Amino acid sequence: MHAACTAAFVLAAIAGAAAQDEAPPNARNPSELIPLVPAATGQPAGGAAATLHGVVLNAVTGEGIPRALVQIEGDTQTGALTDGDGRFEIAGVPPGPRTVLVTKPGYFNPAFGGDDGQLRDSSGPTENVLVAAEMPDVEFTLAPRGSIRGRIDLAGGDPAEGIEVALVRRAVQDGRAAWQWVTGARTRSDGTYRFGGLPDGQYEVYTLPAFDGNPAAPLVAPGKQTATERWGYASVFYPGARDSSGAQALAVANGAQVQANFLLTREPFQAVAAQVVLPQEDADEENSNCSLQVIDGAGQDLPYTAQYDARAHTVQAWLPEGNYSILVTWGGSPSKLEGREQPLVLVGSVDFAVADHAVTGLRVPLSAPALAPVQVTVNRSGTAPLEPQNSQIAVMVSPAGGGNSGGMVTQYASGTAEGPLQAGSVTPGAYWVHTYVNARGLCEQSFTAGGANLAREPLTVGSAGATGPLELTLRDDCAQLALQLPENLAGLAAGIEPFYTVYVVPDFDFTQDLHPVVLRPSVDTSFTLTDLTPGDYHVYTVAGDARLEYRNPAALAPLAGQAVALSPGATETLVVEAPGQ
Amino acid sequence: MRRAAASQQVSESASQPHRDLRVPALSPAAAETRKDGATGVSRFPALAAKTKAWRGWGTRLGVLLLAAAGMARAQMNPALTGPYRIAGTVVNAVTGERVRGATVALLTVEDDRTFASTETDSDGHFALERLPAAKFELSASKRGFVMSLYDQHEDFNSAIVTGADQNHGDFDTGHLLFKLAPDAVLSGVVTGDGGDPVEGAQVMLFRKPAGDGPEATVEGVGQEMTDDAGAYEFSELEAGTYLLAVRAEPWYAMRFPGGEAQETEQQAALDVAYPVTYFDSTTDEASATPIELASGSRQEVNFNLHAVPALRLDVNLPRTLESRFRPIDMRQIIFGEPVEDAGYVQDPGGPGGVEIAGMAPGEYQFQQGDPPRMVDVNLSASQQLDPDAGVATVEVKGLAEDAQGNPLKDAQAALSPERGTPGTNQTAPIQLGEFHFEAVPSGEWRLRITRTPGGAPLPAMWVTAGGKTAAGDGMTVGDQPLSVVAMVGAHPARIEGFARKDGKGVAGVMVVLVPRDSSAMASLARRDQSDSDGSFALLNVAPGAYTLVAIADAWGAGSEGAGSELDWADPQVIGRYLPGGVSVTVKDEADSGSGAQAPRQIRLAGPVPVQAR
Repeated sequence: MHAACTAAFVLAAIAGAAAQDEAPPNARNPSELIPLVPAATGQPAGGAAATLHGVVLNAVTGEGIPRALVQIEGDTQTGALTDGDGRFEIAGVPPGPRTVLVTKPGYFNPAFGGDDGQLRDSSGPTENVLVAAEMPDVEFTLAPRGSIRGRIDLAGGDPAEGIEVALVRRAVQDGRAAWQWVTGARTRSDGTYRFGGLPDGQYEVYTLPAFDGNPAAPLVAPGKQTATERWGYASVFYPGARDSSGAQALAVANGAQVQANFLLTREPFQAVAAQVVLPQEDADEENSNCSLQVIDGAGQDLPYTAQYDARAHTVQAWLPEGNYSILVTWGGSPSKLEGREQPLVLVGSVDFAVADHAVTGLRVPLSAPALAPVQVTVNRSGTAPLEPQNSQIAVMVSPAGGGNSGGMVTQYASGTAEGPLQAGSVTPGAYWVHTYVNARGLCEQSFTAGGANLAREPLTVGSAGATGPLELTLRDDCAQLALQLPENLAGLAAGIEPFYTVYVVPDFDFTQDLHPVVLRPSVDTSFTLTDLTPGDYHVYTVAGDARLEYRNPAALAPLAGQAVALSPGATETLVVEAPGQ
Repeated sequence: MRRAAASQQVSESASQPHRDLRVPALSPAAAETRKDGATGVSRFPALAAKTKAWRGWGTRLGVLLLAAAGMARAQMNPALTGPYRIAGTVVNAVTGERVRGATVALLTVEDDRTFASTETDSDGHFALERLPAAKFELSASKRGFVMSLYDQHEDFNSAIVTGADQNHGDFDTGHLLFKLAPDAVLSGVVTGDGGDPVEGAQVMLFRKPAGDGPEATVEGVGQEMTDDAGAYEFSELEAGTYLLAVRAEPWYAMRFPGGEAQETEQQAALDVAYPVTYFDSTTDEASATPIELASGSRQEVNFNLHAVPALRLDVNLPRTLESRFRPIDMRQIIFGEPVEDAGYVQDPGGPGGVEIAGMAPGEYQFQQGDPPRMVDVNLSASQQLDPDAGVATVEVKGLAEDAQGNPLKDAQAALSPERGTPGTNQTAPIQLGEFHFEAVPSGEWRLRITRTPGGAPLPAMWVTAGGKTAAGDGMTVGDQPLSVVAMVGAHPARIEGFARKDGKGVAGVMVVLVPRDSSAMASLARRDQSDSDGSFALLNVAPGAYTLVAIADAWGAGSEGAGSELDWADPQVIGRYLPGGVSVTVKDEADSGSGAQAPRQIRLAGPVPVQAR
């Protein structure tokens, strides 16, 4: 049984967020047909086939886009390419709501600007179009993708071929903005790199550390470091910073081709060697694997690599001058002597500085982190019994604080409302918590870790485990909120159907993630959120798709929200105020 | 010496897994399925130079593979206090200019670790001092050049031996001349109809071998995907003759069920495909123009793809008990190499089988029916595949044993067809000594066993098939299911010796172990390149009678050789040197009575005389 070394677990399926039912916008599910009437065959009322006609426009220039593909999905798959003026005509379309996908390489759908799924492929989110026998022209809009490219020069004049460059993008995930790694590229033989096909957004680029040449064997024989020396290029965040705190964001908009050049200078890299000390009883090294992270003095991940020499139990790295720590996460099967079943995870770290000579003699003692379980308390106001089998709670965590590892979500603990939630193993670091309460009738009251409010502060997991005690308090006098589209928007008209994304944001502290509700005139004119914590809220309604930074008050301030107060056990109704009315 | 470790060097600048820029490599075991040819011994990919090289159609090599477990632990003495030095100059192999800033490293042979490294100065000089007496491999690498070991040819190089009393002859470890070949670059743009760039096209690079020997097959070297501008680049290439092929699907292609006849005109305009396109913009493989790349050259090769109506193929597949189809086994054949193709499968629901839509004209190979038949189809129009088309295949079951009769474990069997036999390479895992190939067309095949993981080849065997036992790894598959027993030397022998002339060791000569039975040349011959003191080692030698020859200037246009490589695999050519060689007999281990588990080492008593080419 092997253990994965780094904590890259998949979000648990039970993340159903009982407080707000997950309602991903339908448009993200391209194969879903919206039935106008709930007939089994999906065939709508009204017979003769209609023609869908219209134009695909460039969002920046307003002109028609030739050779764009308009595809109608579902049982009657059909499609057509637009002509030289961007016009298209598709005959034989059954009337009713149809899912339409409009694509062209080099373009993205700006109505879904927040959808990071458009980063990598040219197929995008779909629109719902109501097709009728006599309908006006439909106007679809695509926006040109931009690019970030540049040239790397090496001081000294050699061509900068084969240097790796990474692209990160500012993305909003679970209400917080974080820089997420998008992709990487290598410079070509002329020293240039290119990241193409980028939808609008904020980006950063950085070079990965590089050497002009490499020894044929990557690992150094133990004890030989003093005989080796290397000069290389340290990692640089555009335009010239040593770490991400000095990086400059690059804005890509309106199909811009942004230039980001680098000038790299050589500096000495010193060999760093550390001895990993395994606890006595863990002997099965053959089936182990080890992940190593190099972190700077401020706790942020750095793109330097370290290697593990399994035979000598040493960690080797080449680093330029600076202050670092190396975090070792070792996973493997337990010793056969013990006969334990669970895979073993051990962690350890060591801090050191690199100046002008090799760094040796470091030791990294590994130990099993003792992760504090999460104590669960339920404040009962009623007498209805808890149903343990229906009350699943999970605490997920995502890396906090700078760096480019934003977005990766790992499970910290899970269990039922009877608690406590058993913790798994998580790499030491600072994390934001995301609580999932999938229990009927229960909602969050508070979540603290040794007195720290986890809605406002990250959870710190050290080598010895989390700073505890972790206390999650739930309550059972939850409220409900029914959201409705205003009357004048509830009608259906032929053409592209508008939709609205609604966020119900508490004014008080909360660690549960919010899931937006999508309302649309055809079928989802209303939606009821259940198991909401009583208190004051603001409701934000946005036309189209949106990913709200709901944990950032500065991002919410400019928006007009509707205030609503939910009393314990009450059900309120709110007609949302859609923008543009 | 031959580089034995499966260590692939890539730039060390990877960051964490979730930021890994590269896609994982094929496992080493998978690397062995490549059709091999004459030697019967799996070739390990050449060193680090080809950071994009791999076997078969995997993705870019990126993962650092640590060496297979060495036999001795690394030396533990920390200081460098020996009296010897290795020094010299690194020069550009084409222009002769000194190369400054190249990383020169010494590698210890037993455990594949870097012992010492330095950089050349502005005059291209390097010096590694205070070395103990030992044998080291010497590597040189710099951005813009193909990384290589000293005097490297294919997988062979001359290791440097330090120490007193070295009969080095003319070899001076203090004044080495290390020639580094500048890398060649092949790049270009792929466009479609109307000149739009084609993003995500698969550009495949093949290499044509020099010479016409049995090893001379076109082999896949790498592939790149075009970016959003339709651009691709292969860099860090060695000099050679290359072929390019581009595979892509029109981005706007749509597939419609129901058969071609029912397509509307609008649908037909979208039901298109790109045939495989070769340089220079031809879709006919036979007309593909080879591209000569010299060291340090840059060539631009562009492609323009034209969409043609997509074809459909109705294939008869057997249904399983649950009335589901078995997966289609389909490959496209490009330059003789099978390239897996998933195909766009539509199930019309009829009893006959499935329809594969969206196919471009070209050469394909299918496995269909039950019992399976292997069909080669040159597809130029939509058609129904005749269920009786193709060649019958039979099941081959086998047992792999060592000389003591113990079943092998942790190994893999690979079958490769001889010329003229239909079909392509197949592999099957060996469990408890047993392996099973479902569908092997009749013909002549070679059976090779390799250990997994690590892919260390086991020496050529005896194969018992249909009651007959033959030395080597060949077997004949007829029209009946076949049971074979393959006996493998599980304790390979290792022959070590010195190549000398006038009493002095000679570096860089080609040493060939030639089996007495010339028909077994392909499976039993072994080679090495002598090190700086004339020493050499031949690995994985099967028991038998041999003649060992050492030939100077036998390598091709590498550092020292003139002209092309000696056609050593041709018995006529190698026969000239046999009278001047040394007889070696390797006994069957059953005779030796030793039962030792470690590989046997045979040290030759006398030197092998070096003969002029």
